[in-house]
Amino acid sequence: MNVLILCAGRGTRLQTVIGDLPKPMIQFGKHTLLQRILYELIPLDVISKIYVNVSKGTTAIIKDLALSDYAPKIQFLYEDNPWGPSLTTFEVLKVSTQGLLAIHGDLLLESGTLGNFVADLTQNHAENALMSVHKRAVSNTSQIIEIDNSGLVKIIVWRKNSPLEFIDAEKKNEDVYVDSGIYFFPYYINKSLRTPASNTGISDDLLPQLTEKNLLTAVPWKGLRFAIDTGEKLEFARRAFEDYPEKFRI
Amino acid sequence: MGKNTESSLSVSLKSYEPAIFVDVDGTLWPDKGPGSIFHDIDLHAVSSQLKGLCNAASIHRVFAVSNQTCVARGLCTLEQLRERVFEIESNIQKSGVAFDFRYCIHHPEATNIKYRIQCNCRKPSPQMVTEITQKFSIDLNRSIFIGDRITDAQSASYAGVKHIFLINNEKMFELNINPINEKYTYKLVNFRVIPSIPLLTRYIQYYGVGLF
Repeated sequence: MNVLILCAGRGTRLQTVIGDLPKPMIQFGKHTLLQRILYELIPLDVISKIYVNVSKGTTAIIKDLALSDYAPKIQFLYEDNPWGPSLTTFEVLKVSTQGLLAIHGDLLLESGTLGNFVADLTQNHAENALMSVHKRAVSNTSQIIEIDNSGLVKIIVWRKNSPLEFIDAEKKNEDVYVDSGIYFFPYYINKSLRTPASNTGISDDLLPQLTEKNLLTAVPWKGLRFAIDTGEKLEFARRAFEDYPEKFRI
Repeated sequence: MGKNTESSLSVSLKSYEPAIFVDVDGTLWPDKGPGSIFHDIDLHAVSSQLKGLCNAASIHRVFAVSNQTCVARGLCTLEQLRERVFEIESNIQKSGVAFDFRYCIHHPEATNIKYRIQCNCRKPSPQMVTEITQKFSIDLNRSIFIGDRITDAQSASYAGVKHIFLINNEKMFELNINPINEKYTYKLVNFRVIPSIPLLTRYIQYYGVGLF
């Protein structure tokens, strides 16, 4: 399995709080958010490649990681201007010969949860199961929709204009294709903290339908997790970090 | 009919070999601004580094690919640059490395009007790498590119080199004033960061090129 950590975002919603600092470089304790994710992923044997994508605005990440022991194991992807997570993921999928786990770099995850999650994912053979479920693409139109309502791993690749069109196509018994290299977790952290992103393409009503149809992989994710993309969420995460230090120990 | 068959056979049997593409200023020797090539360079150390890398990666051809703006900036003449390049080439070749030096002498803001061109060869354009690839039948999937700036990575990536390494230094993100051709806007620039060439040699000895 390959992993893509998305770190190219401009972080405009947090600019007033953290300035030019890239979101994945926000410090929690001794480590940054990105370092916390990497520390969990690097020892896992099932992961063959770790891609970290950066843009002109977030190159500080490369400088931060370049001197670490694990720098040679990381493949950096550079975008002059951020393409957006969906397009980046789509491009990486083109070159990735294995399943791809896309993770946003601005997540604060409880220690151990990522390792457990990857283990669950591989032990349950979710990747293979998905591969066998989906039909092949016929449509020429292709679009990727980012699902941004959980703040967790939140991308899925479609070869249809929208999930609604997909449902229509299913009704008409047309061939459709959903790329299965990416995993999505329809779990919420805290509904009151949700800030739907502008490119959210799936409504709450549609989620259960897609999950029922096995189009979204849902592997139980135990533990605390916070997506940090607004000042409010950052404050909330910081409070949790201080309140539960034993849960965020690396 | 017979002739056609022969030519198609000769094409299919053509062997493609990997190569090491390397930037020079800031990679093979310290980057002291335009004209670094004329500073004191320890060519013996450069040769041994390249030889070690070639042995570790089992690659026998090395191509230097460089933007040399010293002529365009009026710091030297083209003749002087050619002589210096020849001297470097022959010194490195003496150590047993098949070394070839390619360079672009243009600059969009050159003081010498003759070289003030928005050329197609200056990095981040992939043209220098592409020309070498075609001329010497290079297999880009097994080739390595080593540079020190993001423009090096862009050039190699657009050409199709699979294994790209950037030496970690302060100038890594000083972007070239050459605009990037629009057709490359959505191409992945995929690279790893390494502290130095000797360390890269050790990594390759340990992991092999394939893992990178």
